[in-house]
Amino acid sequence: MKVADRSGAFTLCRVRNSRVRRALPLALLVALCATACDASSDPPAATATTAGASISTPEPAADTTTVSAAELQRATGTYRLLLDDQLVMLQARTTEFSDAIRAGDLATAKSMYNWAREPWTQVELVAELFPLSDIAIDSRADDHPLGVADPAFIGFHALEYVLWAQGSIDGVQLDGARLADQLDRDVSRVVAELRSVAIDPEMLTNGAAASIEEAAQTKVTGHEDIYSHTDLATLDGNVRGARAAFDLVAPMLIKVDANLADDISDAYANLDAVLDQYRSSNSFQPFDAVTTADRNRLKTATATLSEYLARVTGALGLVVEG
Amino acid sequence: MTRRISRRSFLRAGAAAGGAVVVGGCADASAAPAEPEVDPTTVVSFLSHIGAWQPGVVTPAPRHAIIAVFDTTAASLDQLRSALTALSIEVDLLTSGTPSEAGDPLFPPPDNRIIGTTPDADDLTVTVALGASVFDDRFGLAPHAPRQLTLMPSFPNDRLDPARTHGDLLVQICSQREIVAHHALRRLMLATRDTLTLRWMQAGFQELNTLGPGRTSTRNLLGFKDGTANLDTSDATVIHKHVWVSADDDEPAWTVGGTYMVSRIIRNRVEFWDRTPLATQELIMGRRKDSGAPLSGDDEAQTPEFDEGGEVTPLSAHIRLANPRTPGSEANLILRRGFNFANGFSADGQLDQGLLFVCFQRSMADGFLTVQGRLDGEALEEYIRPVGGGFFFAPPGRTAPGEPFAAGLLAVGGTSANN
Repeated sequence: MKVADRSGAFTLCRVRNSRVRRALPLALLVALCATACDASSDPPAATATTAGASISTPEPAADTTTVSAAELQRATGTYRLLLDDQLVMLQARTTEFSDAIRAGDLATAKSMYNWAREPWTQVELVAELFPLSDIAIDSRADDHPLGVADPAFIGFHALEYVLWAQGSIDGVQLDGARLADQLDRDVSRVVAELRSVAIDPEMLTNGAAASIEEAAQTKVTGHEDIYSHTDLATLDGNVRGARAAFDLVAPMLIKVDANLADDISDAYANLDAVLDQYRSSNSFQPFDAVTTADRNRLKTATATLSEYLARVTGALGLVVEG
Repeated sequence: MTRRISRRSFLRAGAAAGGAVVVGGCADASAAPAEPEVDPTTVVSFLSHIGAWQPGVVTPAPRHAIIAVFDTTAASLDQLRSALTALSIEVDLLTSGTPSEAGDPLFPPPDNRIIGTTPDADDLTVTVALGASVFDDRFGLAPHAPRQLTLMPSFPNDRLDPARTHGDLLVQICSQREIVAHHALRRLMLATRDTLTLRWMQAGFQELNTLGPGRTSTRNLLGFKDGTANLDTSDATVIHKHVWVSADDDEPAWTVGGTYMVSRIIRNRVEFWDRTPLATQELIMGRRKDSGAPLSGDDEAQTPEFDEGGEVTPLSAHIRLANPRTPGSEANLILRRGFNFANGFSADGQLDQGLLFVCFQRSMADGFLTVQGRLDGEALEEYIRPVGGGFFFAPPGRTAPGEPFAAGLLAVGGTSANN
């Protein structure tokens, strides 16, 4: 069994260009909503994750103390299926969202923003393996030297600006229809890229860790969706995505480190508990509504979860000694 | 010229005699360097600020630094000269142990007294450098600009905050005690109230290097030794080759003895880094964390040997990209003189810590720009984020007390203005 290879050592690194990606066979993963809805469904009601549910039933295995290659393969195989489901949804919802913008329907487009983004928030970390697509689809204005005026500011957040800050789809600053066309093209590209990406075991462990790591930076401060203030929806998507990835390796983790598995499960529950307070029927209250005490809880919950998730790859023996 | 005082002796003498320790310290220090067990970094001095080049470049880096970058409101070359002269006069007072006057009690005191009446030896250096904007159309200096001085571009991993980027005039203040640097900054600002206003500022600190060359005891806030393979500042040949602008270079004559200075505020994501597996950290850096040894060896002082396939030292490892040690890459060596910084924390509750990067080089193209170009996309980028800084040119040293900084530039600038 050779589960440990050099690539595992770098799996926490997201990369920004293909040169490095070749140099570091990175692996990351995503997370997915296992209860994925079909591609054209209405914005789904939030599905509260039941903490610990899926890690309470370890798979039967001949060896109860080590992780087998077959188990890892099953996990990555399942993830492949989840990912493909998400990609179908991403493509379909993006098209509907873009159509609303092209039709000049500001109100409908606004109501679809989070719904269209949801699959993206769950495949985000795999998508980061393709930096050009990631930047095109999800960069924020402050990622660009000229901010909103920067020609490279395109994608979801540029459309967020169009819908909430500019307030008109064919406004003088940004052309919504043109941005929608571009988003369709970029999403098609990333879907093709992600359909062909090979899923490594480390994607499941480090993907979950990196997802929460990222969330702990911009998404617990209201800095992600600065025009729509829908940061909690993005955070929730990232958390559920990370959780789904974790759930796939949890049966293996329970065998080698049950305490760590419990800790992670508790940490997810803590995070969910805060998020649940701000859920409404099918979305979240704006980030402004989050009290100082709850912002602090979001910070400690994501930081604690990050600490635990950082240990999973090692616990499963997926990291080589340098 | 230079009074050398052993810090250790100073403390011993101070404990015994309480008062007149400076003389005793000096006497002690004269014997100290011969004793191998005496740590040379415990010696503090008044450092000369007159010479062919400015101090604070090849001077061993002390514990503390402040980089203060100003914009100038000077409206003419004469006003700029006045500011650079005022700085010069203050620097001479600050670095010579000159007691500050008490002044007339009916007036504000001439000195803030935050280090008492008389500055003691503290390895204080003040280095002045000019930004590209000084060579715009305000002072008629454009024809005399260092050829490779530009505004710092935004590199791919940069997220530059305009409020912490660029600037007309950089002042680097280094000292062993933090308060000495702050004292100097306040004096320098007092002397230039009418013409200089702060644009950005960053304080830094570090532990002294008690080893080297080829080794260092200094660590950055990622916990790795930093500076192991830095240029040997005691080797004049090496420094002339890589740091000081020479008369052979395609540069204005006034720049000879000066050096290009890059300063960058590079935030480190320390929480994320601290929860990254040790093996990963070492592969990212290309060195062992504890020993500083290259991954290809077992001793810090060994020259790294890079395997072609990157199996031992990954192709994206920091030290491999920064200095690939290939034929020709020796021309790209730079003198690094960075400090750590700790600015509290950001809105996400994570520490705002990092590296106040400073480097000096004879050529921007051969030096920083080539090195940074190779580092673009390095594995470490995930953990670091440059947020500010700028490109500057540190003019050659002053030849006499009271002479303005960049006197050579002011002379030729004045000539062309008269023409």
